[in-house]
Formats: sequence, C-alpha cells, structure tokens
Amino acid sequence: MTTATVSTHDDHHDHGHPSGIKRWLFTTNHKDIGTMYMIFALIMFLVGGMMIMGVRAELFQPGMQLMKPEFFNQLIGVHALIMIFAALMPVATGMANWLIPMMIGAPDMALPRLNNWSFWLLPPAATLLVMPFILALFGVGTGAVATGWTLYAPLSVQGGMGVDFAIFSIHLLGISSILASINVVVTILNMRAPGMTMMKMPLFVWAWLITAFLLIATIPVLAGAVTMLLTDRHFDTHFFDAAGGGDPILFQHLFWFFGHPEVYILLLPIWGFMPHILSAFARKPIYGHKAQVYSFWAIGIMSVIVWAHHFFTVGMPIPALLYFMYSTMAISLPLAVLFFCWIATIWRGSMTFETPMLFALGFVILFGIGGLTGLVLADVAADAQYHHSYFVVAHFHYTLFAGGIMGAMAGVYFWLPKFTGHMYDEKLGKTHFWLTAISFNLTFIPQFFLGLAGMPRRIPDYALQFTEFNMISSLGAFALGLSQLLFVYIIIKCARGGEKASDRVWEGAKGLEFTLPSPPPYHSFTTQPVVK
Amino acid sequence: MNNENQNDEKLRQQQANTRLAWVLGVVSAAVFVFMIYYLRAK
Ligand code: HEM
Ligand SMILES: [Cu+2]
Repeated sequence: MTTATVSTHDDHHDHGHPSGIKRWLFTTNHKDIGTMYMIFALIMFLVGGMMIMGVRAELFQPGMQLMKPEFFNQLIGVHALIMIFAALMPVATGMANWLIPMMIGAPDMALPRLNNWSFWLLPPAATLLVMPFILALFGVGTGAVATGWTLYAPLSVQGGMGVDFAIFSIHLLGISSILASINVVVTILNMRAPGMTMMKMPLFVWAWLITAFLLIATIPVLAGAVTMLLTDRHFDTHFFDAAGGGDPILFQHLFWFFGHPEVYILLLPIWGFMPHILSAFARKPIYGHKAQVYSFWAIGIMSVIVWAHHFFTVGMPIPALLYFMYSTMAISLPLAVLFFCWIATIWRGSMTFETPMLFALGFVILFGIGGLTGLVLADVAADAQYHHSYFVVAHFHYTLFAGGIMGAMAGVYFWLPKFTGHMYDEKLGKTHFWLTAISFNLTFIPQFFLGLAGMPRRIPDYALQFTEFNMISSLGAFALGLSQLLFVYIIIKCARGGEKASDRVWEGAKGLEFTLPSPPPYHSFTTQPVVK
Repeated sequence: MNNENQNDEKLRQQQANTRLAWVLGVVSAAVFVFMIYYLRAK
C-alpha cells in the first residue's frame, strides 16, 4: 500500500513558507520555480519579439531606413538566442517543473535546491546577452553579438566584445540547462509512484526524459566550442584559425553537433504535450503510446548523427554529402509515426475546439509544413539553391514558432486552469489563436517565396523585386507581435480570477495531475498514489 | 509502518538521488573536457 512508499514531505507539509521576494528567491518548490520559469520565458518572448519588430521595420522597404547594418545584425542574433535559450527552453522547463512531479505522483522534484539554482542562473545570463546594447548607448563597445546565433568563426573570433558577453551568457545558460536536465532525469528515474512503470509514464514525461539526455550530452559540446572561441579570441590558441593551423569549419561541426539535437530539445517537450491535449478534446484514448515512445527514442538518437546538413554548401566529400542527406531524410520516418499517431488519436473522435485544441490542431498542420520544407532542404542538390536564403528562415519558423511556440501555447492553455484554479477567458483565447495563426502565415508564407526567388537571409537591404512580399511579411509580423499582448492579458486575467476550474478541468482530461485539486496543494502528492 | 523506517527510507532515497545526479554531472563535464583536450592538437 501507499504507506510503504517514500513521501518526502509528509511530516511538514503545512510549514509556513516565506512570502514576498524571499519566497521567490529561495524557493525550492517545483510549482514556484515552474511559475518563475514561465514568467521569465514570457518576458523574454516579448523582448526577443520587440527586437525582431525592429528588423521587420527595416525590411519593410528596400534601402536603408532605420538603422546601421551592424545594429541590424545584432538584433537578428540576439533575437534568435533569446527566443531559443530564454523563451522556448524556459517555457518547456517551467512546464516540466509543474507537471512532471504531478504526472508521476511525486511530492516535488528530486533535487529542489539545484532546481532553484537552475532557474536563478537565467536572469543573469539574459542580462549578459543584452547588456552590450546598453553599454553601447554609453559609448562602451560596439554593441551586442553580431554574428547570428550560430557564432561562426572567423567572424566571431574577430567580433567586438558583444561576442564575449554572448559566450559567458551561453555558459550560464548551458549550466542552467544541464542542472535542470539532471534534476529531470533523477526525478523521473527515482521518484515515480508505485506502479508507475516506465512504459506507463505519460508521454510528456517520456519526451522530457529524452530531452534531458540530449541536453546532458550535447550542451557540453556547445560549451566546449564557445570556450575554444574564447581562448582563440584572448589567449592565442588557434582552434579555428587557418593561419595558425586551425580550421574554421571545425566550429561549424561543433556548433551543429549541438545545434541539430537542440532543435529536437526544443520540440520534444511540445510533442509530449500533443497526445494529452488531442486525446482530451477528441475524447478518445491516446493512439500508439508505445509507438510514440519508440519514436521519441529514435529521433533522439538519430538527432546526433545528421548535423552537417546545416552546411552542405561549405564543401564536403560526396560520400559525406550523401550520408548526411539520407540520414536527415530518415529522421522524417519516426516523425511521420508521431504525425500518424496524432491524427489517429483524433480520428472520428467527438471533438470540441477549445483554445488548447485549436492550438494543437494548428500545431499539427503548421508544424507539418515545417517538416516537409525541411525535407526539401535536406536534398543536397536543392539546398545549394536554398541555403542561406529566406526559404530557410521560413522553414525554421514553421518548426520553431508554429511547432515550438504555438505548441507551447497549446500546453499552457490546457494546464493553466490546473495551475491557477481558474478558467481563462475562452473567447479571448480563441481570438488569440486566430490572430496568431493568421498573422503567422501572413508573415512566413511570403518568406518561402522570397527565398525561392533568391533573397538571402541576414541582410538589411534587398533588391527591388522583393519589395511587395517583404511588405506583406512585415505587416504580418507587426500583427503577430501585437496579438501576443492579448496572450499576456489572458494569462494575467486568469491568474487574477475567473470561473472556478474543476479538478478535472476538461471533460476528457486524464492523468494523475487531474486527480489533484485546481490549484494543486503546495506539495503535489504528500502520499504517493498507487498506479494500477 | 513507523516513523523511523520512513525516515530511513527517505534518507536512502535522497542519497540515491544525489548519487545519480553526480554521475550525470560527471558525464557532462567529461564530454566538455575530453572534447577540448582531444581537439587541442588538431
Ligand atoms: C523532417 C524534419 C526536418 C528536416 C529534414 C530539416 C532539415 C533542415 C535543413 C537541411 C536545414 C539547413 C538548411 C540550410 O541552412 O541550407 C535546416 C535548417 C534549420 N532547421 Fe530544420 N529540418 C527539420 C525539422 C526541423 C525542426 C523540427 C526544427 C526545430 C525545432 C528545425 C529547425 C531548424 C533551424 C533553426 C534551422 C536554421 C538554422 C540556421 O541556419 O540558423 N528543423 N533544417
Ligand atoms: Cu538540423
């Protein structure tokens, strides 16, 4: 019975926890930490969004209007770093903090103090990243990192002090991710409720387990690469300097050995959300639980053997080109299994279309476009044309914005009533979905065609024939940016009050987290539940 | 089940957690160190 199991907090669960700033600074509670992660992610999402509004304003017309090219490059690079490391990853980690203990029937995360550290490394890291912008205002330095998020040598070896700030920031972000991942792995492997076998684990938990393994294995490679960059810049090493016997291409290999798994790190947690949401609103059990677990594994493992598809055009032996092309294309097989399972889950279900379901269906369709255009890019012969064009930009926004951000929003809307105890405003939620979906497509469909027509990425000016599509794209981007203010409003409104949410929240919701009250108690399960 | 046993169990669990955390942390650090060491002469 339950009494024979460990419950770490049964003896003091109603202890008075500190309030005010101290509660947040010193908290070891998985829900408090999860909340902080998500608020941080939301703030950084807006900051990164504002930067790219500047970029789209400059690109509204050909010619140079608003800013110097250096500043334009800085906005692009910092936008990407923020969106990836300070928005999408933190929202996934915040959801992991909230949900994993509840889903596996644990009182909290396994290592609560470590958890506090993982979070509190993030604000200083983000500050480091944007600080050079502020310093430049006072005449110190030339601004933030201007190399794009990929930090390719030799540009990054020669760049200003913004690069050093970015390197230190990436180190902190990396440490934070590794600590959080360690916590996730230990929690999942050691803290499951009796009867919660690995194969019975909810898919969100499975997805995060593999995400955490990927982070533990690949973040050190990124950290190593930027450390070598740092020593090349300041300590006379020549890792990436051809004149000194080094190799700039080595940096690309190291970066993408991390970078490609990173795209799955960003998306696995989202793929973990989908079956929960789709099955709840289709009122049907999840189709292919096992198949999805195996697909997660297959994608996780294959993600570390395809990295060179990001620089086919740099010059590689033909067998290498073929290997990276076919291995990349092979990843779409397990991905297709996931798509099949998502569709089979809702097939002939009695569906209703509340906001989380809208976002989930939007995710399936738009992320599908992201995956298919990825296949186009994986073709070596085609990539020679499309590489470094706006087609790539459109591709990875379909994966990262529609797949990542919109998928995360599906999860947030789905579990928000559980977290806050209130229903969000359904009408506003639906409005937010339609505004987002329409303006997203308005922004990025034109970019596919711009890319196909030959417009390169990362430039502040362009040839006249690209004008109309850039205008459409910029208008879409402004609408997309503004629509997200509605999201902020909906969340604040839901945290403040609203219709009381039931324990189950949604008629079709399943899972241990929905057996707890809404909002759940400070320590999720003081006595571990027994899973049949 | 009495309190003492529960505390033992709790301690055992915490030790197991810490052990696993260290293993994972060391793996991570090892990748970092090995990579730079291996590439230094290239
Ligand atoms: C079947 C699935 C996919 C395939 C075959 C694929 C293939 C590719 C290829 C070949 C490139 C390089 C294009 C170039 O630079 O010429 C690329 C770029 C990119 N992909 Fe994908 N991709 C897929 C899914 C994804 C997913 C799921 C994500 C993210 C969650 C993603 C994110 C990115 C990013 C961020 C870039 C651009 C990186 C940069 O240069 O800054 N892709 N993709
Ligand atoms: Cu890739």
